[in-house]
Amino acid sequence: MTAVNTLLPFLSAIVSFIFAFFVFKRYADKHSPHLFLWGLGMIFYGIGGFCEAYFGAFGWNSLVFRLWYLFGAILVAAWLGQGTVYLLAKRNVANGLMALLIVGSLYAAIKVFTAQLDPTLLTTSVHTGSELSGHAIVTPGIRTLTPIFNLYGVVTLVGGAVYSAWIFYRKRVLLHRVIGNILIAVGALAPAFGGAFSRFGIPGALYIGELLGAVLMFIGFIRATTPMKETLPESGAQTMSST
Amino acid sequence: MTSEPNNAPKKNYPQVYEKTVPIAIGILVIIIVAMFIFTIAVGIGIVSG
Repeated sequence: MTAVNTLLPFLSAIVSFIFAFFVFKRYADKHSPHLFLWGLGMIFYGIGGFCEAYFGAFGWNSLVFRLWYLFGAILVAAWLGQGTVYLLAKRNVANGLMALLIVGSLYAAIKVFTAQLDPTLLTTSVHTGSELSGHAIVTPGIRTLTPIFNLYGVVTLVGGAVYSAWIFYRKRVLLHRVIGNILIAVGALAPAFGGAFSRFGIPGALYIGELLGAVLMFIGFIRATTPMKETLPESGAQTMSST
Repeated sequence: MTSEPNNAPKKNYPQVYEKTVPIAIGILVIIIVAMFIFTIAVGIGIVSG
């Protein structure tokens, strides 16, 4: 047990659950589906972090690994991104993609919970073994699901945040949303960079990226939902403050 | 009447944001496109993931 592979993911989980609480609190006021999905996505993020912390503290457990792989590796980015789809896309498009995501998520859940696992494979690759990784999955075909879900998540979550930032910047309105969306985009990318460095054999990189990602997205969300009064234009601001 | 000049001053962000925001957005767009291409390349087997 080390601080890097136990404390960092535990902190990620705590930040994620607090973040989810703030998002659900806002959902209780606004009743917008994107807020519900973002809250759910941050719960998934927190489950992933908690499972990583469990692995760091107590070692291998197949149920914890399956929960981690399903929520932390496959679903989290896609469900967060689906929230952004509801924010930016037409409702029928968002509903169609939501149906696909639910079916895909159920399929992934069945595959992950019926997969054959071998924990010794965690240390047989360039991966350091100090972090959880999909290498422990023996059954073929399951790990190919991960990039599909994550690509959808990155394009929708990061792409949506960048698109929103650009729209506000171009109109020179709602600077707090510009800053918030950029922070959310950077935060959403941080775990991907952490994962890449982890594959190069840098221990702890994934967990550092995940903690950084949770913190930046949280700050971004707070920034985006807290107006900077001195920069607001006199007209036009109210119509766009629906987040 | 048809070409009435727009005398309203253009509202700008503070100078630091005017310079840094487009750079940040540009970098993020490049990263997203690169990740998209890389993932597709891994998916069709051109690059080893």
